[in-house]
Amino acid sequence: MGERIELVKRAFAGEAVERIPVMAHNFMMAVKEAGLTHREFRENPDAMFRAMTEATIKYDLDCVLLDVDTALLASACGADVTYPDDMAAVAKSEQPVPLDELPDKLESVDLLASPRIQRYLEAARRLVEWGEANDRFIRINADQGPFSLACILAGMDEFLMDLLDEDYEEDINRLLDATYKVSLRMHELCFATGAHMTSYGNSSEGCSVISPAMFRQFAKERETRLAADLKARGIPFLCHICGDVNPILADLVETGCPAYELDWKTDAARVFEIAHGKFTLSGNVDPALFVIGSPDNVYAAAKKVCDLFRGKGGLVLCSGCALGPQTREENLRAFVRAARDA
Amino acid sequence: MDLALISERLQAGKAKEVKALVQQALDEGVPALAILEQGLMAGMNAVGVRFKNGEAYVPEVLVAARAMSKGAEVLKPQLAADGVKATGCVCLGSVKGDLHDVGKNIVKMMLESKGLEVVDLGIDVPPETFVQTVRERHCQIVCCSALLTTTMGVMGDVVKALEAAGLRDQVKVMIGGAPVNEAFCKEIGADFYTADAARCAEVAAAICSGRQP
Ligand code: B12
Repeated sequence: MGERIELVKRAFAGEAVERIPVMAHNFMMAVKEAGLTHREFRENPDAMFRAMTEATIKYDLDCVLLDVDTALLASACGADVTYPDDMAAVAKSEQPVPLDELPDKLESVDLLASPRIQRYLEAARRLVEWGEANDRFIRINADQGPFSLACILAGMDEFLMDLLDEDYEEDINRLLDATYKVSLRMHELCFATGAHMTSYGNSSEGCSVISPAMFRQFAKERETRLAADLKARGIPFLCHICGDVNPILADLVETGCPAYELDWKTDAARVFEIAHGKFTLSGNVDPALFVIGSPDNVYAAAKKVCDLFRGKGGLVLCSGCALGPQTREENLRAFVRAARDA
Repeated sequence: MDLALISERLQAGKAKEVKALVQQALDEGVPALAILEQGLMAGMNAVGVRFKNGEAYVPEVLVAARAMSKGAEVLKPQLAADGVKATGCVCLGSVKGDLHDVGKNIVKMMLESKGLEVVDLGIDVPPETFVQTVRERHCQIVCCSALLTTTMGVMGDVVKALEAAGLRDQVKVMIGGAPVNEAFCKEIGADFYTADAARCAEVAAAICSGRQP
């Protein structure tokens, strides 16, 4: 196995590695730099493959992260999704399916029947082959986790309000169990491409949206179960939560999830203090800084995170969330340099 | 009736109770404006402060806002009959390309809790729509929300479009959303940036009443 792949694997396993690996959440930037529209990107496995490999080589990244938007599962589950030419697709939440009807609807969803998912997995397989030949770690994002998927399908505002209403508790739990199954299945499909790792986004369970108490009531148990189920299947994975998770860091340690991808709203020093040796951090430089900051700003922010973990393991340097398409080239280069210098 | 009870049930997000209590207060002859200010608006303000301080989260704010709008529905005819008018008009939207609306919706509720009329343009709103709304509804304030670095720039386009339409002097432009800050506000020539919805509503209320925000 290639040196880089080995390095990233060990870093995600929490080992103190010789150098801090770097990953970018860069699909939007890669699409732009490849001269593609988002429509071309999401509709064509060749385009996904080309955009992601070109960016990986250009910036000398250790990992490829394949991601297309936040509506891949939602579309396969029959949600109303908009597909703009020049932006990632998004699920609309205007007329969601009623909460109590959703679980039955999800029962019959066949992810492999979705042309979008077929194309995505095709691109993933090609990236995996390329990664073996070019010594790159391949992470295939399995889209939204159980909680975020439920939010999207049931309509964000309605779902969040229903969380406070005891009358809906049973419906909510049924829905979350149904989205859980969809999410687990997607991980299996992504991992079957030969990927080194899968991931999922569950940002709506973070404290930028719901309270720690709600996280404990509705999200934590499923996150713990998902971790156990994925481990039992031998699937390495990480969970992405952008937004503030400072108040639930101690909970995240308890879920058994081996790695969390967190953004700048969570304090890396606290992550180190509370979670070092328990989960690996993928993060956490502000994507906005890559657009509005200078290379020195980005370098300094990245160095600050690296300094906390240097020599101790537990970090894969990443932006922690999706980099915007106007991310400046010299800023991503400075980011990679900071990891190399660390 | 003790109007604090309305405020308290509103904070608990009990829409049906709030609606019934507002009706009861009206039946008891309490002036509609007092119910609005000391019941509904007071309750929503309290939720806004708790949200700002990290003691309440998005779901709590949403249910309180729903309760407020249910109560306001009952009040509206009486407010109109009493000649009570909104203290100002604000148009609000997530700018073109941006489909995030949780923060925008909270901003809406907080503006309404200050007695302002809000024209909610929804998500993915192009600059022309803001301009047209200002012209047709005579809004004093335009509020733009953007959560993406990709869409932040559209807020500058809104300022320019208002200028081109000759409306810039008539309105104040307020901007907000996770990636936005004070420096960006100055850069694009907008008037005010605030980090949270509660402060946004305070500033907007001050603008509409001619006070210094
Ligand atoms: C929930 C969420 C989503 C949901 C949105 C659901 C919905 N109906 O809104 C979904 C999953 C659909 C989503 C999609 C995407 N998202 Co998103 N999302 C978030 C998340 C986790 C929380 C946002 C939120 O609701 N916060 C809670 C509210 C209450 O806070 P708020 O919006 O900031 O609003 C407050 C203040 O800002 C202020 N305010 C807001 N508006 C205004 C307006 C005025 C005038 C004023 C004065 C104040 C003000 O008041 C509010 C209350 O106090 C953030 C994470 C984060 N760190 O913020 C990412 C985030 C916003 N998303 C991000 C991204 C990249 C995306 C996607 C591109 C992802 C993708 N892979 O495709 C898509 C884009 C969709 C699109 N075209 O808009 C990035 C943006 C990065 C950047 N700087 O560009 C963020 C910041 C995550 C990150 N760390 O990078 N997302």
